[in-house]
Amino acid sequence: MTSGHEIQTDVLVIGGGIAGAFAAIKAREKGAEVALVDKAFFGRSGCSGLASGVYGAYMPGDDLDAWIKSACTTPLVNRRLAGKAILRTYDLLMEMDQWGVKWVKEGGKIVREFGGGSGLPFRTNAMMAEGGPQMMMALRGTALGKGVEVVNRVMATGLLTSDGERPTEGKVVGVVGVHTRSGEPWVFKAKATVLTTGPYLFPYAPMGKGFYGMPINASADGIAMMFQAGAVLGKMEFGGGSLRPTEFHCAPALEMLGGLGCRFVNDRGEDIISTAGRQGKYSHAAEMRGRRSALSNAIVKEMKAGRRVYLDATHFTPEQHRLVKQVVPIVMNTFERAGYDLSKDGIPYGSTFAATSGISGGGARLNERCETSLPGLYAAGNCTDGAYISMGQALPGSSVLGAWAGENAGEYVRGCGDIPVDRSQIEELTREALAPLGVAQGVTYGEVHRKLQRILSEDVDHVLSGTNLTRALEEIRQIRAEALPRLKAAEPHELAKVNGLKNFVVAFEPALAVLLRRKESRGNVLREDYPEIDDVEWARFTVCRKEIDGGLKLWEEPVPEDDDHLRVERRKVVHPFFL
Amino acid sequence: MNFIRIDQMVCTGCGACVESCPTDVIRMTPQTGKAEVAYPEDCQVCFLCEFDCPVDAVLVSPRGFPG
Repeated sequence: MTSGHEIQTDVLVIGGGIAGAFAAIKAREKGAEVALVDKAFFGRSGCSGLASGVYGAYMPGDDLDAWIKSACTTPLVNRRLAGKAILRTYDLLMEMDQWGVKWVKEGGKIVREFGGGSGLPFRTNAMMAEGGPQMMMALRGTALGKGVEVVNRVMATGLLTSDGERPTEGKVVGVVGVHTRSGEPWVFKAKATVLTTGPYLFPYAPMGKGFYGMPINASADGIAMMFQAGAVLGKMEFGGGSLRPTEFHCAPALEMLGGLGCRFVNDRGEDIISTAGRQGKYSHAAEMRGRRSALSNAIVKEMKAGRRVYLDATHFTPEQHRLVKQVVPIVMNTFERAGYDLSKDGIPYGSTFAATSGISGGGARLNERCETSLPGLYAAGNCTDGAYISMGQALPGSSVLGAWAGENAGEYVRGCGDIPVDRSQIEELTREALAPLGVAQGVTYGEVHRKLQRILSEDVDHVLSGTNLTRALEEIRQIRAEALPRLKAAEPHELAKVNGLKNFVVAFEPALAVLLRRKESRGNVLREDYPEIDDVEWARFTVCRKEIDGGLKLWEEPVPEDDDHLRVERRKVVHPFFL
Repeated sequence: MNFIRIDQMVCTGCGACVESCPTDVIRMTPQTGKAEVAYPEDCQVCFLCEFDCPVDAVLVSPRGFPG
């Protein structure tokens, strides 16, 4: 089935955002041979370049305890690890500076702004002087300069395992993929594989229809591949606040705009929350200033009351407006090109429910070495349960996890011998990936896409209930069993979209299952049937795995009662959203 | 609704946008030797093609272009 596109390497990195770039660079620095596969173009793909243009980084002299406290507002975060990650952000910032990432500087020194999302009372955000796109191209140049072999336009579709089985009881030994233009299969054999494929988003959502996010092809490919191979997934229920401009796919830029003190107002002109800390209409949200879930929940309340919500930055100084344009060029270009003037106009913002977007949520359950539960498989960034380890921002956490994953994978491969690959599994995975091209009388991408969109809008709304989640889960299972095998694609471009849609369904099923299992409200998870934050029963990790027999196993793991974790005050309180 | 437009009079066929588009919307047309929008429905209006075009032949708009 293969046509000669076969690569063997020590460390294989899949995904070319900030986590993938750091994984590849750091594995290379350990002396490993490294290949990086990207389904688009490394440097232009993924979420990182499209994000808020800021990098929350520790600098010597900062109050480290305050940093750690801001990262560990729940017991579900390991404090010692968060501390290590926070300290590492400084090293990575300095390295990126050496590698040509352009930062906003004064007198030759990187300056920092206040951070939206961090809640910290001091300046944390280093700002990219030419935005995220320049950062990613500099990381690309660095990776290439260090000898990372890059393969673009190949979408990884399935993990290879040493026993030829999925789920596996062996180790991960590479991946099979398909070129998104030629449709040709590719095989990558590797001693260690690092997945950095980003979050799960409802892919290719129509603009302005409520489900958004950029890039629109972040379809949970890695999460789905890991799930199929039997890796343990964690935090899948905490998708995160998808608080965004309602008319466009672009990033919300709240790490930057929130840090500068933007406001949210409703169509009566009422100040809902001020991220600068002023008491707004929802004081609970103001108390938790900067925390995305509180912001998002307050906006959901307004939306439920039939009011529109706008981001308001009209009070920014001309200097601040210039800075924002420089640091977040994509978002500001979008607003401007759409006819909005941030210095005069409010921008419509809204919130979609977390489960439709695993932006700050779950994925591979990682240990301290960024190993997944499967030997030979590492992961980093937004396809893991640790992306937000260092503060309420994705880029710092993803870069640190990427660096750790690359370093540990680079060391791990030194002790590895030959790569055991099962030829029949390569053929099976290739057949599976190309299958939609051979379907004549099947279901179309559009049919399944519309069905999913209906489920998302009807059953997985902002406020969840057991009834709706059960219905959504049943419908998703039906789609998985009946529609996915019959999905057809006319040519390679459509094939990539079809395979992405399949991956979203595969990842969404365990997300819905753990949401249904968690019988409380917490963060963005709002259950009208369980409106309390329940630290008595639910200050625990809910994890899941696909079993050897194909069944979905869900279980809880306690938060360790050690100094690394916040000691839980065991109480139940009504979630502020329901007050 | 098309969100992306490539001015065929200005495009030099350098392929920068074809290489960089994250959602693979643009392809080279062998007959003309220029970049053309092959999958307009998949444009996410991220501006990266505009940034990468050396001659300003590419234009994207979140409001779309008529026609």
